[in-house]
Amino acid sequence: MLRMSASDKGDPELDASDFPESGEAPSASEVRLVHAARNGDAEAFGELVQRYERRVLKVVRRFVPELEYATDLVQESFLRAWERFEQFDPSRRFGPWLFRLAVNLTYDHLRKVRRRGRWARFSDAKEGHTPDPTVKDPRVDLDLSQEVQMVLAEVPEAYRSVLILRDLEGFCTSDVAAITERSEATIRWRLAEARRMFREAWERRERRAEVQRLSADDSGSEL
Amino acid sequence: MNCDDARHLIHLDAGDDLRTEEQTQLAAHLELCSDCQSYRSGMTGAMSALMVLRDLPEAVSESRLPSVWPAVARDIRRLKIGSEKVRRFNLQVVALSVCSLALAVVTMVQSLSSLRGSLNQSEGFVPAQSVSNSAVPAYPQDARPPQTSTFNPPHHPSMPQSF
Repeated sequence: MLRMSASDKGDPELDASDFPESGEAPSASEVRLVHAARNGDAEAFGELVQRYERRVLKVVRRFVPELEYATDLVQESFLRAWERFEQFDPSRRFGPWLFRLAVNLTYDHLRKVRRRGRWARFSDAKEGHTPDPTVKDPRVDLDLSQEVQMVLAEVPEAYRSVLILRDLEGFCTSDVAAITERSEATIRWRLAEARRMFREAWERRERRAEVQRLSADDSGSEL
Repeated sequence: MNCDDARHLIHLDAGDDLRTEEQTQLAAHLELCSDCQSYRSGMTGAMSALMVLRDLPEAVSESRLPSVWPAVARDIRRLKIGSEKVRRFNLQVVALSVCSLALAVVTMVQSLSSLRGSLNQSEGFVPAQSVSNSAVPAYPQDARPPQTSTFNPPHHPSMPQSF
């Protein structure tokens, strides 16, 4: 079972069923479900799907923000898991294997999109609503989040995925290693490098913003 | 520890990924190095910006979405039906092949035996088994049985009389 970081445990929006148990070993019920599903029991597989789908969707949406595409990818991930269940090693944990399938499918999707020359926006901003002065404007956070997302996109994919899985999704390094099929030492090194790259990109963005602000001030004083 | 090593540890420390001994080493370095102290505060700022994405409302509102299981179950049923069709088709192909092979063997055996029969008829030969089982003699009663041929070499003056 996938372990939670401290930040996940405190998140009220996340349901406890998303994380049936923490620790190295999977729960007995999950072992039973996985065993039954491997033997072709669709009901058992359905229970596994319901346990993991929200978490998988959340991870996929970190890479593919469009809900429609992300849902399709989640669906495809589960279907692939069903088709390839005989390749799953039952002595290992089901969660990282499933997430690996989902992340790999997501990478394939992103490659296809890139080949088509499209680029995905981070989120669809809702427009046309009446502003309420008592409520904090959500677009402030949205703008910032879009900026952060753009900065994050500057980090190379191999590093970005580690950063997303560890820092945004709260997987522990051993789970990130299992999902990405790398050693834990490699993941620690990549994580440090990813944070350094993100920091540098973020600082570059801040410098650019500062220059733009100064030039805007200059043109305003000239008028 | 030099500053490069310390900064590597600072990157890990930003996400609480340091081991106890690494924490001790980093703390000892930070006490002495003001550059690394300011680098660490910059790292904290960048990480708090990154955390904006983690706490996004869009990212956690998926609990309201319908389950994908009905769609997955439908696909699984379709897969099962598809694989059953493929299996049935394969079985049919195998059965058809076996039937064709059997037919070919039977036809071959029949044609061989008829060919042999026609050959035997043309030579006037009756198989021995049919002779023993029937009262019909293999050759006419009044006919002479075939003589076994003996080798009588013609005499030649240069040849000795006996070997």
